[in-house]
Amino acid sequence: MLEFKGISKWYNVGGNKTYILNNVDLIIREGEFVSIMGPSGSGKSTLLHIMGMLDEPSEGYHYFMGQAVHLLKEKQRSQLYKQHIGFVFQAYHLIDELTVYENIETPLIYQNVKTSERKAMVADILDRFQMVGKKDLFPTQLSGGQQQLVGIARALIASPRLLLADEPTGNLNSKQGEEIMEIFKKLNNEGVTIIQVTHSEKNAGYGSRVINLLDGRIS
Amino acid sequence: MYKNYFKIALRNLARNKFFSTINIIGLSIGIAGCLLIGLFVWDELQYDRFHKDADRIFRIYDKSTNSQGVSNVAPTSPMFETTLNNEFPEAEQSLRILNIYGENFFRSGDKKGYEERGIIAEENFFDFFTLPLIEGNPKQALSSPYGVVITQEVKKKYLGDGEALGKTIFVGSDNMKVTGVLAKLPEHFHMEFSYIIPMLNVKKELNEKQMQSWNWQQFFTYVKLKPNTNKDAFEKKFQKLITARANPVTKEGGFTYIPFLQRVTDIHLHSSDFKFDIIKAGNITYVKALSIIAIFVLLIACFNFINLSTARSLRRAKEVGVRKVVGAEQRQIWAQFTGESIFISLLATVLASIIAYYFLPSLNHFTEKHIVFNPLTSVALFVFLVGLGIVVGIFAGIYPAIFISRFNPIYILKGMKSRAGKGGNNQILRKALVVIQFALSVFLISCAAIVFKQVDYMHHKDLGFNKEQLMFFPMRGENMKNNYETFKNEIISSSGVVSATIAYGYPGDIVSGDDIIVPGNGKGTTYPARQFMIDYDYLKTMGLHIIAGRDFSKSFATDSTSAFIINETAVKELGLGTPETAIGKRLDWHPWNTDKEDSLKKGFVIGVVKDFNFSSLHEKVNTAVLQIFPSAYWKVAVKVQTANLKSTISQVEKVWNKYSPEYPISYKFLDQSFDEMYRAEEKLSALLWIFTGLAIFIGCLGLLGLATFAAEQRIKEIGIRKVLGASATNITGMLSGDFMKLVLLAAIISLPIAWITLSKWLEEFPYRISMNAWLFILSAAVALVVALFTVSFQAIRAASSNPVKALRTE
Ligand SMILES: Nc1ncnc2c1ncn2[C@@H]1O[C@H](COP(=O)(O)OP(=O)(O)OP(=O)(O)O)[C@@H](O)[C@H]1O
Ligand SMILES: [Mg+2]
Repeated sequence: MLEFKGISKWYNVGGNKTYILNNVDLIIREGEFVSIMGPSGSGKSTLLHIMGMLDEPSEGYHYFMGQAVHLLKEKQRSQLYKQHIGFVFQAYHLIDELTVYENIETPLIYQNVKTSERKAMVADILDRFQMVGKKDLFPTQLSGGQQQLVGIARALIASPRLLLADEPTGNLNSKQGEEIMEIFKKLNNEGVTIIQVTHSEKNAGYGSRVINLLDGRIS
Repeated sequence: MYKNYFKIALRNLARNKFFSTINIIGLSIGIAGCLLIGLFVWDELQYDRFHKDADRIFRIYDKSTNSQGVSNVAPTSPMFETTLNNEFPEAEQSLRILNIYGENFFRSGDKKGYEERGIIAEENFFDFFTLPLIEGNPKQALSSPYGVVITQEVKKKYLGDGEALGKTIFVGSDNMKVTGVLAKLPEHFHMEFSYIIPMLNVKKELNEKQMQSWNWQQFFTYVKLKPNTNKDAFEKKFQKLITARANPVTKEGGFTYIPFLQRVTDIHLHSSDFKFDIIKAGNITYVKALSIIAIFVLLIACFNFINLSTARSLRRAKEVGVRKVVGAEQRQIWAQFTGESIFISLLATVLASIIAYYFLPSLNHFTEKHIVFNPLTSVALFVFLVGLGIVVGIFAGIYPAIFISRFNPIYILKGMKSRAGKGGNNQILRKALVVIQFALSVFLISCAAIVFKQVDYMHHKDLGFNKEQLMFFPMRGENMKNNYETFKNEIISSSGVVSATIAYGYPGDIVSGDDIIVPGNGKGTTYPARQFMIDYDYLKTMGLHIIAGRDFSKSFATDSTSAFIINETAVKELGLGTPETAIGKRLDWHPWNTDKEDSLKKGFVIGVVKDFNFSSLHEKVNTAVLQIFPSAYWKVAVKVQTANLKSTISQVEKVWNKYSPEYPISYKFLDQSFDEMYRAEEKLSALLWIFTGLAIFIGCLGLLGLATFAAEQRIKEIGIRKVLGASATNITGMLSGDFMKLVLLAAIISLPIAWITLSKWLEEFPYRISMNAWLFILSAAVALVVALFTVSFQAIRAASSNPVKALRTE
């Protein structure tokens, strides 16, 4: 489903190239549940952003679902990830001025889904996450765990094939964390490919494979 | 999608009440100011558009050159129309109008009174001007010598409510038959009058020779060109013919002229500097100036919006980042934010319309207009306002929207907000906009100050005579005119009267123009001059100053037959050397009202008076000649004491009624007519103050927003500095200093521009204040102080906050 070949990312700091990612090769197959681990600053988030096409590599080949991403134009790329990729963040990143319902609905708006369909889809997922009663609340009125649930619901609303999660449980207590992991497990069983960044061995245990990153290289 | 955007827009507005208020209030006031000025300007542009064939009706005026310079003169020679009729097939019709100067006496039965404004017009008047007649037929209303067309008001006043057509009314010295009743004259007609006398009525008084004169400029000439005639080509042809015939003749009188065509729709706004004009004149310069001010005010308001939106855009950064991550394209973000500012702008437009609606009556009162403004009943106006709201929204919102839509989501999601936008350029833009805003404000303050000073100067300049406490009125009835001497003496002996004079030619009133001749070899040299036909009490009553020679005196018998007093300008213009050397010099004049063709009054200069401004200060003082000439005596001026004015007036009335009981007295005070001369400038000055105030207010609103934002952003820095020992004064200085530099820069940029603009404006006034650097520095200081006050208000608040609290919230 996803393949990196010689992917590097560097910044020019004071005239020198500083490598964040250095010649990364990797293949992720449909249906996998991969955990990326590594010390702080090793480039995990950067790798995830490149996978999600939010960031561009400085060099290398990037394939996603049979398309050469490095050859695509901005617009086509956005089209591709909008359809197939969902994001979950450590800091949830919900829009504070929108209600739970509206936050979850937002991705559908950008995919030009009709209002009536949107309603049905959001209702459906609210039901699945047992949050129907909270749909008119604003993010600040929710606990961290609940906010992350909304974040996941938003990532899943458009039924992506790939879910990217950057330390999704980082801000949560262990019980909330476990709940999230259970959800991921279930999703993975339903066929969603999952790549998560985590510092916790326990969370990594939910997945099928671990990629270790050290100073921008896979070790 | 729009619902989503709409909700977020509303919630953001509600959450940031302070900034929303500043944005919306600023924009509303800006748009409201713009609307009010716009309505005024639009109304000024509506003049004379209602005439049928307005596009091919023109007025002809002259650019006249004499030793004093070039000026535009409204009335023309009677020959213009004759020439048009006989030699220009392109002219479908032409029309001559004469003005009736002074009030005319009206009487019907026991109802009597004076009508101030009347004209004498040729038969085809109504073919030119589409003025509805309530009674009578426009084709025949002016075709009998003893018919008169009156307005409805005049009819009501003298003839009551019934039908007036065919009824008799006494006008001036004749019984006239009403041949037409005009509906109230349209507000957008360039003339104002209450009655029209047919030209046929005065035909007998206009002798053949006079009607062929190129020198005698008394007729307002209009022409209706045939359809599809080229105006410019026609004008050229007409100019060529007229100058060839007229100028050889007029040159002897010391002047030449070139005729020009003026569209009927241009008359109102483009004749403000015309001499001897009778129209309701507006002033295109002032209309343009006001339009520019309106644009300034709107610009300042829009810049506020741009500044506050970009400054506070980081607040929205997270939202933008998230939207992009979940699939929004840059274009969509851009559309969302532009939409938001259009929404805010529409909101502001609604508020502005309400403000305009409530202030319009004051504007109408102030400008004497009857503008109607109701967007709910006029579809066109409603559409215009929506369009205005959208345009302003796009103008103010497009840059912030582009700026925001370019945010890179990665940085935002990583929490590195400052990297998200290219912050640097944005700072420069913000500063530049603040500079422009205050440059415009300083410019407006300087204008307001200079215009105010000039108006004040015109009201208070020493005019060379004393206009206070002067009551004046025309004599009426044979008894009074024949016994003017005893009449005057009786007035003088009334209690409360200081002195009185009878003359033709008062400052601020009609002054006749006639040549004066300096005898020399052969015929001598003829100079144009203004003639004052006065008596022995004139100089004393008017407070004119003799600077050489003496006043007229009854003890010199020759004073009534062969003496002239002239003004300083005359000494120069006639080449008589100095006032002292002018005394005793010979002057000749062709007397009026004699049957003998070539009679000549030969006289000597006996005195020179200091120049006095007998016309408005818009005009230079001309050569003036004063002489004793009783047969022209017309108006009485009475100098009265300040105390017991009422009883003095009734004393004068009593004397009047003794001599002319059949006429009511109708008097004015001279200083009133002088004040009226500067109404246009006075109004400009008042409007300038109002809109300058608005501009500064809106600019400061923006500054307040930016200062608040800066204080908010630097709250941590301020906390640390305070912990390190900075005083509240240090902090206030630091925060205010940044802004004050900008305002100072604005002043430096705008003062030279203001200086140049105002010098040009002042050049239009022959009598003007001198440009005073201090006034400009003061204008800049006002802007600085107001800005400092605004900024330091926030700075002091930030500086006096508890540092520990500030650091903890971080
Ligand atoms: N614009 C940039 N310029 C220079 N260096 C950068 C830039 N963005 C990120 N970095 C550096 O790249 C490195 C990798 O960052 P990244 O966020 O991918 O690490 P991470 O493995 O996710 O760390 P953590 O576990 O703390 O989240 C860091 O050392 C960071 O300082
Ligand atoms: Mg990270």
